[in-house]
Amino acid sequence: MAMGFSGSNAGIGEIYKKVLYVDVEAGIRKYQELLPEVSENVKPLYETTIKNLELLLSQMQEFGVRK
Amino acid sequence: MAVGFLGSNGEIEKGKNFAKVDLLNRPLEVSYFVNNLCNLNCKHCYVGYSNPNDDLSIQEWKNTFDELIDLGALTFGNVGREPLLAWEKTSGLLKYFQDKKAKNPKLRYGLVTNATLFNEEKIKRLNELNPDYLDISIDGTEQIHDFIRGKGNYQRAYKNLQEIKETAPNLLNKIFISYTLMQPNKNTLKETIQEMNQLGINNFLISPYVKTIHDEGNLGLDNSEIADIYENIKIGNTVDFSKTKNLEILLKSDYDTQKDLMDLLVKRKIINVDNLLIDEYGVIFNKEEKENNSKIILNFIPIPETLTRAIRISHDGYVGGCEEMFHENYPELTVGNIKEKSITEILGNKNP
Repeated sequence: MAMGFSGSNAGIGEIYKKVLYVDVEAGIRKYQELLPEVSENVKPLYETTIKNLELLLSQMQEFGVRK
Repeated sequence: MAVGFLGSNGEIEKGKNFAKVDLLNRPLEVSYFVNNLCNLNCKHCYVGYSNPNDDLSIQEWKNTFDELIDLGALTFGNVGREPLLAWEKTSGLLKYFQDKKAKNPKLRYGLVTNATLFNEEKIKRLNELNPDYLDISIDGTEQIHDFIRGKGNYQRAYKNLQEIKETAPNLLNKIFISYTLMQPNKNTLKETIQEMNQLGINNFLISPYVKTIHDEGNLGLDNSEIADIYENIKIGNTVDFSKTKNLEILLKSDYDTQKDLMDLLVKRKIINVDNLLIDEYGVIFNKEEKENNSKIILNFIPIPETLTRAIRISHDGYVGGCEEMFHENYPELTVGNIKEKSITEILGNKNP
């Protein structure tokens, strides 16, 4: 961690709003597209990434973050 | 080799405003192994193998870093395995980043070392190269540190820290003591902070040991123990902030390898998700001000980091996350090699 400079008080909902919803969607799409191209050994890494991004998207939705 | 994570990367400061941070889909944080050799044989080493062959050349690193900077990378950490064993390459790359930073002040660069191999010349040169941070692995008081890292290594590191204090005070201010929290040293944090603070070191990074395939089963702490230790630090039971000043203690947890711990810290309100800060590097954290200008930082990154915003590159050019590099068969687990494809191609970065 921990690098510096500007910050601002915010709750987690506000933090999620700093994450671009479309970026998360695009990330899921990107790794889904790459998944068939990678070896079996690497697939779990991509699958975990997709799963985590999907979780993030659902958490963002819970906090009312939309496109 | 110190950590599975990037390290301290300097300090967090609170500012007034921030714009929307591009948190995903670019490699914000890059950690790299400049070699795969170490002079120590620590009980908790995450990389339980050595490989003296196939190191990337300085030019191959520079070409890769050029691309990564173009892709938006901001933080570059030399995480080992022991950078001082590859001093020519390490210093050459630090010089590269120093020059890059002159044009792009947002770039940050540093390294992690066990500090046993410093000498006067290396300290002088490192001071000139002006890294943003210098993480030094100290895992306890002398007895505990040597139990974990081998006899005599505490004194070797301590002597070099004294040398830094005397000859390069600016560099001393950049030091973060990197403390891997585990069973053998769970009770020596207070004394270690005191000893290092007496040397003039104010910054401490506490990272809980991540259980790995190399673990014989007796090093890791339960999440509840870690949470207890964090809570005690936070409420001032571990460090008496009235008797110290300017301390910065960073308490880490990591989404990709320690999500359960992070969730527990939130559940126990040790991390307060209603009062988070974010910096322009996308680091999200709690900051608690203490007496005498001291502060405690708890990072909270509720976002998958591997590949989406953090990558690690092995000494021989394989690209993955930090956890993949724990395994000796990492070439099979990583997403590509920069000797074969450009980093841009490997990351599939087509501006998704």
